[in-house]
Amino acid sequence: MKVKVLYFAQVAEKVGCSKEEIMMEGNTTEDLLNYLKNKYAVLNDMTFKLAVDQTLIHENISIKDGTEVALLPPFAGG
Amino acid sequence: MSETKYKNVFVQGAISPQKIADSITHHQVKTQIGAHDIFLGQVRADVINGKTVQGIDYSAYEEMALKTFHEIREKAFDKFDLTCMHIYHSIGMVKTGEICLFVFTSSAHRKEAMDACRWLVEEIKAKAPVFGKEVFEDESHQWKVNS
Repeated sequence: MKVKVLYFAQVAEKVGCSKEEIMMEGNTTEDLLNYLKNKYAVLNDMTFKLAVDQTLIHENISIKDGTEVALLPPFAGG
Repeated sequence: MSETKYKNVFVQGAISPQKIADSITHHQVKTQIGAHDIFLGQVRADVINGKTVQGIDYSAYEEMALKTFHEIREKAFDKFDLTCMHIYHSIGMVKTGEICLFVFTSSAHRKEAMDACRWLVEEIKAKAPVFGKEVFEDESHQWKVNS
């Protein structure tokens, strides 16, 4: 299925792009993470959280075709 | 700036002292207010490994950040007895010594305004997906992380 992936700050810098659409097997955030870590080995050494359709998630959840998933490094607002 | 149903809190570049003064002036007609509290975040010239920060280039997951700011605002109104509340955050480059965050709470009495302001700043720092690239004087950079 197709997922829109957004990368921010140091994550975007390391993977070399800020957004892309990917075609992946599986239907969970863990499947997506495995796919992305395989595509970008550098992600294995980075700290980030996932937001699914603009909500932070703290566990593996299922995702649908067309979902927007963001990789968010530590926040630095203020 | 993307389209959104949420109030835009982002200001391009530094927040000017004039904007802060104007905001205070606008509240003089609200005579039920007895206390304001204001938090101003200022970009600090940290020295890291001998290199001095010249500014912070802020970026954000803007759609999610505006939703988050909205949720924080709603929660603050539930939690504290506030007359009004304003939040502005910089996006883009802010030089050292300039203001990057302006939180303004108003209430009938000081305790609510002060408690709300402190709570808001902590919530913003913890929950808003805003990122800061600390740019050094030699144009190299590192990514800031909130402690």
